[in-house]
This record gives sequence, C-alpha cells and structure tokens, in this order.
Amino acid sequence: MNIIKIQNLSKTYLIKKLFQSEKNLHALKNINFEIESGKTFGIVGESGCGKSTLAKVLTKLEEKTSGEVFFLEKPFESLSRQAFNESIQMVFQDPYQSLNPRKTAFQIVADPLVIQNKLSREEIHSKVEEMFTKVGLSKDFLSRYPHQFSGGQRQRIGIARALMLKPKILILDEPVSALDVSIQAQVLNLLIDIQKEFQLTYIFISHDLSVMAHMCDTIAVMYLGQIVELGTRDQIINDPIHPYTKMLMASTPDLFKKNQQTIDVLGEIPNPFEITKGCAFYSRCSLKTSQCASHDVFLQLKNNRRVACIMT
Amino acid sequence: MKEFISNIIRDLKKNKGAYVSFVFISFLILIAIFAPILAPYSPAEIHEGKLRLPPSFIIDGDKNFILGTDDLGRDLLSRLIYGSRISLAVGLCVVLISTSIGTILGTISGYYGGWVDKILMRMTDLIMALPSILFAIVVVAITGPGIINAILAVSLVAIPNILKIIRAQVMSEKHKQYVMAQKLIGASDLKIMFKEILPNCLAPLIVQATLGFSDGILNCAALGFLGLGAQAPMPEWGVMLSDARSFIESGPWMVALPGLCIFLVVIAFNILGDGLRDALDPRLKKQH
Amino acid sequence: MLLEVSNLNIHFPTNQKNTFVHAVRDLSFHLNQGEMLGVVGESGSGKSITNLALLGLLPNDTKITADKILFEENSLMKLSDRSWQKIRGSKISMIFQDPMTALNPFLTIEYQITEVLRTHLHLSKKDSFDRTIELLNLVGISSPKDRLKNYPFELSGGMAQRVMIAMSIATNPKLLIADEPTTALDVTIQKQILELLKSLQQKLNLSILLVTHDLGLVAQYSDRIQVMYAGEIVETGHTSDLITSPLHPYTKGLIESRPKGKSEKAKTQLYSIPGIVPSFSNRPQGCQFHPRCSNKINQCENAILMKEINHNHFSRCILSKSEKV
Repeated sequence: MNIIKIQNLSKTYLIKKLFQSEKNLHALKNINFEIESGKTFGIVGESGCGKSTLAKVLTKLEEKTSGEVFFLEKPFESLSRQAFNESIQMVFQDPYQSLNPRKTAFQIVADPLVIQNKLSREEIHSKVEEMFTKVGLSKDFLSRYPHQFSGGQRQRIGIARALMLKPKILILDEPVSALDVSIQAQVLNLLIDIQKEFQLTYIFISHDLSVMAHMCDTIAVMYLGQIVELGTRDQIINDPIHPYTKMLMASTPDLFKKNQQTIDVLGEIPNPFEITKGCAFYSRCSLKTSQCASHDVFLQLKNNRRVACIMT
Repeated sequence: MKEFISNIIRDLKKNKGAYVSFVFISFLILIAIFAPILAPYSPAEIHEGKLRLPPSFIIDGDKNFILGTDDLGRDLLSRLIYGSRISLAVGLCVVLISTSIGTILGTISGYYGGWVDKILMRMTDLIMALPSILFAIVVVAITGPGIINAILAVSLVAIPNILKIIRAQVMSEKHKQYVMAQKLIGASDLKIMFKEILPNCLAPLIVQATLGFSDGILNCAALGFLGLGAQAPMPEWGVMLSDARSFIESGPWMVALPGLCIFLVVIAFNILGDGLRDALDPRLKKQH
Repeated sequence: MLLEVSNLNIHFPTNQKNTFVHAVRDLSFHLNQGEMLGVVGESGSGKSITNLALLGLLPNDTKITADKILFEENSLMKLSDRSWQKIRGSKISMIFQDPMTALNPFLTIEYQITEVLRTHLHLSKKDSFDRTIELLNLVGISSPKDRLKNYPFELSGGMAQRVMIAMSIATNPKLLIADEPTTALDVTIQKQILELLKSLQQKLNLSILLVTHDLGLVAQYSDRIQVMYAGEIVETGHTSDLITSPLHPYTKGLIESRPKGKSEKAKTQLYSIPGIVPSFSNRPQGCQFHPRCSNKINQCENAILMKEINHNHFSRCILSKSEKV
C-alpha cells in the first residue's frame, strides 16, 4: 500500500540578486515516486540536488510550486493541521541547532503533546519518560539542557521528539552526518529498531551511499532537482545504470578496495541558472552526445527500474 | 539558569570597571530606597539665612550643610539624595516602556518580515533621523512639559535601538532547525515568537536595557535642564543644574555637584552595560 | 625522516587557576619525505590540536612539552616569531576544512597567491604571475587566466579548495598538513581533491599529513595510518596492514561499525562501540579506551606504551599479539 505518492512535484524559487534581473531557481523539477508503507525510501545526492528542499516541501515548511502530494491516497492539503502533524515528522541534521538551547530535554520532548493539548500533565510526563528511555537515554537526564548532552544524545532527543505524535512517516534529513563515526552506528541501530517497533515509513536523506546501502529498501538518486535513477537498494548498489550514480559509487571511499579507476570523476555541479535545456548532467558525463544537450530527459523504465538517461 | 547567572557574575568580576560600576549602582539604589532616613533635611525645606552656603569643607561652609545650600537655602545633600530617587525611577520607567514595546515590535518585525517589517523599519528610521534629545524635545513640545511626558518622550526615542537589535536576533534565529521543528509539531506563530525565539535573544536585550538606563537618565535630565521635563521644585538633577546656571561663578558647587551625579550614574551604567556585553557574548558562543 | 615528534604533551588551562587539561599525551610519531600519513580520530582525539602545535599556532598559555619536535633535523620548539614566519607557509603549509573561511573574501585569487610568492620567495611581479598560472594549472583549474580576477565567493567549494592547495604548495614546501580538507565538500569533489593531493605527493615528493575522521579516506589514499583516541595514538602502521589486520580494539571497532555497503544485508544491526569518548576532564586511568572495551583486564588501568607487534605496525593494547610465528 502506498503511504506517499508524489506526482510532478516542482518547487521554484525566485532569486533576486543585486543588479540582476529576477531568475528562477528550479530546486525541484517534476519529482515522481511512491513509497510503500513500512519501507525506507532513500534519497541520495550532493549539494544543490534538492533533497533538503524536498524534505521542506513534504513537511509544508516550504510551499510547493506545482504538483501533488498524497498521504494515504489523500492530497496533503486536505489534512487538518493536527492530522498533518500526526502523519509526518522530521529528524533534523544538526544536533546543535535542532534543539532549543533554553529548554530542558523534558520540555523539548513534551512540547508536541503540550501543544496538542489532549492529555493531562501526568499522562504527558509518563509518555515523555517512556519515549526517552526508548531512545536509549536515562530518565535522570530529562532536566538537563542541550549543551549538557553529546551530539549523539541530542540526535536521540530529536528522534524522541519526532515520535511523540506517533507519525506514520518520518523524514530523516542526514540524521547521522554530523556525528562521530562510532556514534553513527548507535543511532542507525536505534532507527532500525524504532522502525520495526512503531511500523514507520522512513524517508532517509543522505549524501553517503554506504549509509544508504545499509538503511534503505529503495534508493532515488537526485541531481540538480531531478531524480536521475530510482530503483531497489540492490539494483542501485550492485548494478547502477545512470552515469551519475556510477560516479557517486566510484567516489564513495571503500575501506577494503581501491576505488575503481575506470570511472572518471570529473567536473563540478554547474551553475543551476545556466541550464535551460537538456540533461542536467551533460557537463560531466562521459557518454554525452549532442542529443543530450537539446532534449529534456525524463525517468524511463529500464531493467525494472527508472533511469533518466537516453544513452543507457 | 543558576549556572548561567553565576557564570555572568564571575565574568563581570574579572572586569574591574564593570564590578565597581555594579557596586556603585547598588549603593545608589540603596541610597534612593533609604532616602528619607539618609537625607539630613527635607529637600523642600528652606533654611532662612543659609542661602548659597558652600560645602562644609570649604571656608565659609556650615557643618550642618555638608554639601552646601542652593540659592533658596535648601540643603544640597538632601536634594541630591532625593534626586537619585527621581533619576533611578525615570531610568527604570524608560527602560521598562521602551524595552517592552521595542521587544514586541522587533519580534513581530523580524519574524514576519514583509510589509509589517517595512512599515516598522520606516517608522524607526523616522525616529532615528533626529538626535534623540531633539526628537524628545519635539514630542514634549507637543504634549506639554512635565516629568511624565518627559519619560514618555524619552521612551519613544529609545524604542528604535531595542527594536532593531531584537529584530536582527529574531531574523537569525527563525531559520534555525529548532524553530522548524516547532512549526512541524504544530506550534502557533505566537508561541514560536515569544516562547521559542525570544528567550534566545536575551543577551543583547540585557545589554541594551542597561545602556538604556544611562540614556534615559541623561535625556530626562537634559529635558529637566531645559525646563521641559521635571519642573521645579522637584529635586531632579537636571532641574538643579538649570536653577544654578546663574551662579556658576559665585556658587560653582551648585552646578558641579548635580552635574557630577549625572555624570557618575551615566558612566556607571555605560561601563556596566559594556561589561555585561563582554560577559554575555562569548558565553553564548561557548554554549554551542 | 622529515618530521620527528617524540613524547609531545599538550596541556590547556581551564577556568580554574592552576588546573590544566591534559589534551594530548606522550605523542610520538614520524613522517618520511614523500609519504602520506593519514591521522584518523574522532572528536576529542587531539588530532587537530597536534597540527596546531606543530605549527606553533596554539594560544600562548598552552603548555607544550616534548622530548623533541624535529623538522628537517631542526627543532620546532620555542621558536621566535621571525623563525616561524620563515617556516609557516613556506616550508610547512596547512590547508583547512572550510576554504571559504580560510581565503580572504576581499582579495582576488591573483592577489592572494602572488602575495605568498612575493613574501616567501621574493619573486618579481612577472615571475610571480607566471608561477601563479603554473600553480593553478597544477591544481587542475581550467582557464586559470580567467580565474585570476575572481573573488573567493565566486568560486565553488571545490575550486576554492584547489586555490588553497595552490597557495600552500606555491613555495614548494616539504610538508603539507591537510586538516579535514574535504569534510565540507561533496563526495565527488572530495575524490577529485584527494586524487590531486595524491598526484602532488608523487610529482613534488611532498609529504602530507592527512588529518580526518573518515577511515575510508585514509584507507584509499595514505601510505601509513595513525589512529588517535582521547589524546593518544593507539595504533599506527602501513595502510594495508592496519586495515586488513587491525590490532587495537578501537581500530577494530571503527572498522566494524562502518556500514559496509554492498557486502552486507540491509537493515541489520551494525556493530557499535558502546559508550562515548571520555571528556577532557574525565579521562580514565591507564588505557583511555578500556572502559568501552570488551576485552579489558585489570592491567588495562596501568599506563600502557606503544609496542611494535608486527613489522612497523604498533599498537597500544596490552593484549595485541603478533600474528607471525
């Protein structure tokens, strides 16, 4: 059953710089995908690919420009504020910025219930304690302030807060990127456990393919606002098709094998304002032809998955 | 919280100037509170035959009037002591009024942006276009003289500073992830502005409020000097300065002493405010 | 040996009088000419502080003691400011994590590179211009003449880092310290920058100290690896030895807890090292890692020295044993 369905979602920003005319920044271009309930959908890409914008649009922190978003078959505009907050929540990237430095851990985790205003003080208290221990933190720490916790502990607090309203979908925006390596494993394990226990659907955003490979059922690779390849985790990791996906794989440092030298990792993300037509990856692609620059490219079904490339 | 305050006090102690100012201001507050007990005479009491006496440590001085008398025969020391009450009260009123209004407007302006922000910014530009004392004079000229009107006028010219500082802080905080998280759990704009963001803007607010004290006292004293604020026979320091203008050569202490009081209080609040700014800023950085 | 450090200790003052925090203890390591040493550690390991100490960039009230810190056989301890000026930026260079904050936003690229050349090498205007173009080519910046008049904010992160590298090799230094040079960059750019550093190492016989938290990076590019934990070196050896047969439990834990990508089933529990890194004020007795270690024994609470277990492969674990018979 599809818990989320995204159709032709686009987000355009109007950028006005000093002494220049207004320009359109297409942060998201015609995004299409579905997510099955209980699965982890991964979105991987580098800076400028639009993954953070997608997270903000899905959580209504930014308004979409066009397209449809369906939660459980219903357009998400039709949900009341409360119903929306109980459907989707987010764990943020920066453990140092995502918690209010002036509130105690208790207040931070209790806030969602306090705002909802349905439960009594005692009920809220016991639920907060329960969730706190569930994310692996001692109840004694509830009266502490964020600066008294380590990065990994702060992320746990952020996870606890996100779970209080019992959402069905959890967006994880680079949840472990800012943490030390030995702590990353702890938090990833926690996320795996919680998904099973609460039957959550995850949207997992990261730039790190090896973390994605570990956590995700489906992976979407994004580049400059578009999905360039979409497939199961096994397909993407073991048999990437799109040239950009191959480039990402070749750049991810593997511990035991020297990275393949056959893939040329070239160039940089181009200025998004300079691309008007054709494939966004044109400037860095080794397979390019003149057709690639003149025709817009869309996701097409190839080998049981979707790839946005006419050369493969 | 307690740790926060004790850290500030410890940092303040390191700054000798700020510490001395803090002690001085504390004494001043005590003097103001206990004025009836400390002042040897009533400030309005006229002592016949004791006009324009110099301070007692100068020849011709009278031991009964330690700091001398003014041209109506009133004891200067008592007048200065009661004057401290007025100055501190005036400073407090100005700070309370300007800080509360400035904070609310600054928060709304910073959070919403758009046309609300534009209008408020143009209004503050208007007020800041003139030197504050000049603008205060204009306001008092419209409302009429008197100490209440002076307080209101000085509060009005003090609002823009607070507004801009709070607005800048709010603008930088509102993009942070903890604010986004609050939006996502359903917090209303009002709750976010005043319960989430504002508590994180306290540091510059405290500094500006302390400095606002000295500006408030100085501006009200200036209005009093011009006859537009406190009116005689109030023992307000600015009024005392104005009354003594004709006697600069014959009775310099009548001018020097109120002037010295204004000077010391204004400097003390300024140094304390600067010290607080140093104590609070790096603290904020260390907390992250 | 280009760089030789023996028993380096760094103490930081705290808010209380006469109490110091022992941030780095008994650090001993060396670097040969033309070699890349990868220094891996998490936060609190002391790796960045060590870099700053090597270049004399720590605050004046820091206590730095060592048996020796020798660079090209000359001591780097207690040098005067003038002596440091001759070394920093010219014999030993450093590149930092965020190129945008390391470059002066108000000066053009041309100015910033030629300044290095004129200050240290006293080149003429024409010579420094030519050399600047040469350097920009060397670091892989296309159409360098067009780039010269750019300001840092006009460059992407990757380009800015290349400019930083150009500035740091301008004087043909013997040693380049790279402190998390790619942490702020995209992964495809990271690969290009590391490939560039590797090629410079080979072309210029440059020694590089690559400091990072990413074990994968040092495994790919460095010749030797040094693992730091809580202010100490816990293991050091040739890359292939250390990665295939790690000796210290912390190194093993770091390797185990990495998501392995292709080779494993998804969504299984990862191995994770229990506990957290001790804070500066809470350092344990003896082995810094033993409170988190599953193999700990009583002797772990005594001071433990680095021992050579296999050829050129050292470990600070009392239980490390040689695999060779």
